[in-house]
Amino acid sequence: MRRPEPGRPWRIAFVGQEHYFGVCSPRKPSRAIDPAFVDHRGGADAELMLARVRAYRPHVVIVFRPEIVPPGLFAGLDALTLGWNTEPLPRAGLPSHRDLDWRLTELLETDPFNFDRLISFEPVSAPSAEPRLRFWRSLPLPVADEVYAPLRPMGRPPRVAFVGYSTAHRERWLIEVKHRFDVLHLVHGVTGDRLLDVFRRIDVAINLHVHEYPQFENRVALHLAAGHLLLSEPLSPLHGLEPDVDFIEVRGPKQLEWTVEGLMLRPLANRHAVRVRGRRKAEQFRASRVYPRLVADLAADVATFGSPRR
Amino acid sequence: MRVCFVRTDPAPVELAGALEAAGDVEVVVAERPPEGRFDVAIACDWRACGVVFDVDAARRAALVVTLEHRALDPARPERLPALLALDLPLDFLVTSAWVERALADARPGARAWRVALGRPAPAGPPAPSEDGGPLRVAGAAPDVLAAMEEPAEDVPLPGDGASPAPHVVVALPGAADPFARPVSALAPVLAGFAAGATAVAARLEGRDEVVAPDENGLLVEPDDAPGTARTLDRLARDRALLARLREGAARSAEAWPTWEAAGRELVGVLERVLAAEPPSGAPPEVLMRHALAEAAKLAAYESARADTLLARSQALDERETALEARERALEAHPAARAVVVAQRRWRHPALRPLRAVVGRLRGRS
Repeated sequence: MRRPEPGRPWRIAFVGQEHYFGVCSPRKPSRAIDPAFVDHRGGADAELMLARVRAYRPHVVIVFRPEIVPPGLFAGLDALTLGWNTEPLPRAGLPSHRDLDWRLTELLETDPFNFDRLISFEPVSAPSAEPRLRFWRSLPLPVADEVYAPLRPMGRPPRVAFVGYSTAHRERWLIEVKHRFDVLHLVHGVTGDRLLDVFRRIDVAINLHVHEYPQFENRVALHLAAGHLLLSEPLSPLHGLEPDVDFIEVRGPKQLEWTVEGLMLRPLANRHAVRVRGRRKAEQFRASRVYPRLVADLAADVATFGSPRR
Repeated sequence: MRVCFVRTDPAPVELAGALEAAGDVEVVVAERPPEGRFDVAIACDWRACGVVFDVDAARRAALVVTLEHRALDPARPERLPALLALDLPLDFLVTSAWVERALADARPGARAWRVALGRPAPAGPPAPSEDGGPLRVAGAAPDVLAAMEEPAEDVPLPGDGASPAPHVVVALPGAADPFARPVSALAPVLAGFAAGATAVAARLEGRDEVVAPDENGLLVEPDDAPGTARTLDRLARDRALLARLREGAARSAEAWPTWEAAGRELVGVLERVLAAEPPSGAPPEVLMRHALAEAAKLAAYESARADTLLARSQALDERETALEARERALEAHPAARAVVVAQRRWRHPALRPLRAVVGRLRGRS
């Protein structure tokens, strides 16, 4: 295992679709880590990706969606490799959904011998990929430091937004609230700096699951970090967040409508505390804090238990 | 000084014992309002916060070791009174920076006084790290222990007569019992440190005020049982790491005040409470806002439960309708009915030997 020289940062190459995962990785170097992002998607030129990774001479390679790496590609790569499952999977004891089944099928394409360790963004569904894939730990996707913003005074009326593509489930929740109030719905294509621009202009964010099945979306951490008051469907797992303490939990479309109505019509003092706590709790997702700890743990764990990599 | 602790759970109140040991203080611990005049009456949990106003006392306070309404399951109705208890005109004795901040969030302007939890006395000598035996783990949920690959032994938490002492204490958040005495999130960690154990803890509810990662313990994600198990596996495998963390934990325990020191500190705090103006309660509009918000949450949970029941009853209705339709179809076709009746009779328990014979004959063919 190649480690950085004493006092030098870990060089980390992040691999994945930058479009989606750029906000999950740090952009600037720090005393602990020196990051670089290699944009790559499944089916693209993997040799080119590998050449870019090698050129960076990383100590650690972190791949968002490990299934995008062809089998055996990382053999001989002189770096620790970590695959991060970012997609929800079927859960034991709950009815599955064809979307979840499809995601599991995709994930199972992962070559487990490409990676020293695999981690999942949540622990509840990770066992569905076993025994082919074994997850070392579960960790929500971090949030790039650039997303973090100080709390701004809330607009009157507050500006409300939902970021995410349309599904029947989401539209069922949003239809009334969009008819009655000025709710911005960003369906597609707003990422990177443009997304941060939008984040600076909104006060209240809505989080809805893609379909009926529960999960913990990365969007949750992004909105809290940006200082938004978050209204969300029940989350599972909670990753340490507390409903109605760090975010407002809404349990149905009508409750969402009433909550937005309340925010539009009444003073906001009672919601300000939730916003403050959510922003404070979001510090646990900060990329510049999460990655140094994660990489140190990874190195220690591989040193202790070895690696399945070939 | 005369101080009364009012509790609704008969479990011992360590701070009361510490206060008594500090001297010059008469301490009464009671489940009901005691007779006589007291300088300070202290409620030990949210249910005692109302009772404390029946005590004849110059000042009234609440000992807050955790935010009880937040520790309860969101669907529990007890969350409402547990939250409203924080709106009462009480001085709040808080036991960690996290509790102090959480109280300020729940009720801005509430008067809080920091008091220390004492360091528990070790029950026995610490277990050696390099004894080659299984890792002795206290406080881990069964799913965490089941997910471990290295040998491990489940032992009681220190202070509960634990013998032998654990190597490591696991401190993760869990749903609280609304009728039990509230317990500080720091208590199991401190007890572990005092008994010579390290800790594997979630970075929640102030545990990271005590657990310094890689110095005296390790921090894990709160919902990640497999990850916690793997962290314990690492401690089981890497005994040098375990020994180093336990040494760090022992140093942290040494730096923590003893119960005697905590008692003396509490005397000082109570003297300042007595010297200060009586505390005020939350303004009526705040109290009503809290009540309405909690009631709305309960209503949302209740309506979700009602929706689930309704969906189940609709499914049962549909099943019954389908069965009735089947019955009618059978009545309309006597031949089909005869087949169904024959099948039922064939399944009669008295015909089991015959079915076995037929089964064997079919197997041969």
